Amino acid sequence: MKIHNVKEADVVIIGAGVTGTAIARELSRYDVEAVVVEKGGNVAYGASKATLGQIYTGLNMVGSMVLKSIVLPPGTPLTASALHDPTKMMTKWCDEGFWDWDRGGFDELDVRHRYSPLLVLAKDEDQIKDIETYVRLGESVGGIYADFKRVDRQTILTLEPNVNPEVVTGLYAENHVIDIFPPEVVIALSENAVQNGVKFYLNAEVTGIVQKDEHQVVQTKSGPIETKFIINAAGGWADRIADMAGGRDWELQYNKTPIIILDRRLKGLINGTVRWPNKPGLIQLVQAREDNIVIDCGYYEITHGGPADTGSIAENVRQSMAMAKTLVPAISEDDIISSFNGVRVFNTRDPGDHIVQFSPANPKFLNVVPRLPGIIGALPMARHVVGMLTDVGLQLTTKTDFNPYRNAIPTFRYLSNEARNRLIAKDPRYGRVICQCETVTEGEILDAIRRGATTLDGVKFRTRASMGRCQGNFCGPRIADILARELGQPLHAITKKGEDSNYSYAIGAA
Amino acid sequence: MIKESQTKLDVAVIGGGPAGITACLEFSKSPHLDVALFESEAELGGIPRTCHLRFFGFRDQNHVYTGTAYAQTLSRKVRRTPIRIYTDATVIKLIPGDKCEPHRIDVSTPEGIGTFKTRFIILATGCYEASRSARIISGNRPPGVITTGTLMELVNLRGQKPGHKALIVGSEHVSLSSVLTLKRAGVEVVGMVEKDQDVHTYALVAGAMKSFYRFPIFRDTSINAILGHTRVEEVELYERREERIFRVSCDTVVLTGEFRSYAPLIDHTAIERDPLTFGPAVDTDFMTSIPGIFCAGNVMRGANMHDLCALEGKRVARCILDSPASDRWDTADMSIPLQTQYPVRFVVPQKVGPKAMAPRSPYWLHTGYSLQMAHTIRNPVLEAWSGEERVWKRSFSKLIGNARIPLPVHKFDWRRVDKSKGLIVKLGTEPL
Repeated sequence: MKIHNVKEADVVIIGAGVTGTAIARELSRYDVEAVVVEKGGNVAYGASKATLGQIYTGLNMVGSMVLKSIVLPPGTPLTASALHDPTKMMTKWCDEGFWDWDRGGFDELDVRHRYSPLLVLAKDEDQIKDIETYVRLGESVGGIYADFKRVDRQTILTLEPNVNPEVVTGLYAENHVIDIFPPEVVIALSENAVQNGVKFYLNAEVTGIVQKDEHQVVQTKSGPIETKFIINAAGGWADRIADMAGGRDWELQYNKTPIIILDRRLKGLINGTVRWPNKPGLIQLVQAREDNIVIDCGYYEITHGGPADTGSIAENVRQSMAMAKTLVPAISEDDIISSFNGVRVFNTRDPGDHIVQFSPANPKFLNVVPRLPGIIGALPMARHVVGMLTDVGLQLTTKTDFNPYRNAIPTFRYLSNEARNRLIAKDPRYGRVICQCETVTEGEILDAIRRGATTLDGVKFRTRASMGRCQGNFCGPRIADILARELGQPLHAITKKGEDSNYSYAIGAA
Repeated sequence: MIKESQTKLDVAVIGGGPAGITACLEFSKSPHLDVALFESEAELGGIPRTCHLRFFGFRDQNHVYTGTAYAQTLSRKVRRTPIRIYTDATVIKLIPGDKCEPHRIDVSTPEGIGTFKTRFIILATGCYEASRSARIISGNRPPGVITTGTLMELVNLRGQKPGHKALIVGSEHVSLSSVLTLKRAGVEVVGMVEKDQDVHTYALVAGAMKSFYRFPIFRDTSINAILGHTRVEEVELYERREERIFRVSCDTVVLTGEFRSYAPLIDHTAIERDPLTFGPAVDTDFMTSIPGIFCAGNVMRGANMHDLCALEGKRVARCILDSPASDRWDTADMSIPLQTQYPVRFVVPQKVGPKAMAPRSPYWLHTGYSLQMAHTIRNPVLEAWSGEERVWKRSFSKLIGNARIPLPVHKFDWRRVDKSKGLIVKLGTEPL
């Protein structure tokens, strides 16, 4: 990454996850110098890259309320007032956020998405009791939260013929879950922010924050930046950043959940999301927008390995698969193409809500530390944060030339042959398939590089190249060739994810 | 653009490796056929192209080449034929035709998307090695965890090495080539890990290599975790017999073997898939469940030697040349299913047609039925059963895990086979 020599900004946002990029994009509506610094070599490189990928409301949110009780103090009652408190930011932004995405967010940012029918299933008495809890909770909140149907076994098996035939009853909602690919949301937000003038510095880990009269200086590995305001959106690393600005009265706690991706040859095995209401685990089989089945086992094991502890544990993967098989018996361990751990961040002060407040020691340093779900509420959160900045003196003038629209890289795989031929006529490299598993062409990879990808993972998250069944073992060297050629670097300088993560070394070199 | 007039074919061969090219060479003997070969890379040759070792061509070319020279030889030969060759051309969709209708393929090239109608298809798309995730290994996901295929691409085609100290996972034949490839690149081999009690290759050769290059072979040992964030730093191993957990310091992990069929084109088609090989299930003629769509080479199973794949390509071409298309629909259901029971991993072909039952079947030596075991077994007896009847048995001194073991189906006692009950190949319970 080039080291830019810009040293001044009005606002520095630390962290390019969904929180940081949503705030950056919101700020780009105004005439204000905003800068995002990110320690990784790509955006979306912390919690945002390893989540299930659902934007949801209604029935699934009711499920989430039940789930939420796991992280709340023991004995928290399963009531609507305890679990759906509209005075809490988390609740409010989830309510608003779903509609923000649904009514325009996706279209503006050109983010691929799919409404996924949701079935909550029950096969024994415990689960039937949980279904009753869902109904009770949903009805006491009302509105969309009660807008689901009770369905019998016959209906369930018509909707999803491949679920466990022992199922007896269930709940069904048609439009309460939207499948997305989480890094794409962050990439879209960041690209639109860049279009509108925000600067991003990658590989720019923050090493210190210094106060200087009227302004403050953010020191990074890519040089210092002078700024009026700082937003701490460092996600799992927010505690360390907050300490640099004078302290905090909260701790972070990290929970790991295994996420497993199955081979796309299983497309069609399920049509939407299916889950048990609680035990065993909260398993969701999502036929996400890319036709892979995704399993999220919602273990919520506390990890002491910190926010970077995303490694998977073979035993958890096997257990998760065994549990998922109780939902859809036809899947097997042989279908796994990828598995990783999502790290979920909670604060110890109120695990049920976000932290959005100025540092007690520094009135121009704003901590924005959301708990999950981060993506659903990102847009209202960003508006709220920008409002807080104006309250403490940030001057904002609306830009006349703000462009809310961002165009995605064309996805060759989903185009018609006519549309493919139009692309190939423009640039023949759209006809050369590099990643065969996911049918990603050289043209798409070049687009990704033009938009800022400098690493193999940067290309992967923008194009899906090497996300298929061979996991980059065929196309990895070819993508590295293209990166080296386009960036004018030797092959051995190409990395997987920045720093010293070199993909290869020259023979003869030590 | 691919011209409209060229889009009708007799045979589309998908994959320009040894199997695909050799099939084309055989077709070129019948010049009246319109045959096209599609290869997604810029050059023909397939996997042998990436291998510097000199053991190629022995059984199909009667000559010994390096992999690179072998690939060049095949490529040169096929380019001299009238076969149409499309490189940089990836088949992105396969739509089987209805009964007696031609099949359709969509091909992506830098000149545009071509749509071809064809009477026959030969799938020769090869195999791949199970990735790190597919093997369910704990730990973070740093770079430096690669397969033999990637290793050979980096070293032999690009003059690159994946790291400085490598641990090899697996002990199949291909694991030995990865030792030689690593050594060629100047990479230290810190060990070879095999979860089975015995290695999955010739024990003598593995032993000689171990002494010559001075690396340990950890048998009965599995990987607990790969440690490190931006680089591999250590690998944690678990030795079962001693119940010992220990760590090996390295920056590269080479995952070898555990081959699977690479056949994304059959996904979401009516072509029957064998969950054991991950590839299409085939009959004696290497024909899939859809008449007119055939397989050749390692797309049927990973991984046979390149020259056997080449011979399979030749044989499948002969099958197509020797019998008219209309016969296919009539004979498609005449085959008997052949199944396996653990620790027999799989058998290919998965069905037995009348041809294979003939007492002197011409095909059994190199291109006949073969199976693989899940692990190495000493002094086993293999048996074939049809219902309650044992129709074949043979004792072996050793069956090597994940290696090709020929299965002489022509020696089965076919008079006692009950077609309705099918056949199953399994380990005998008592020694002979």
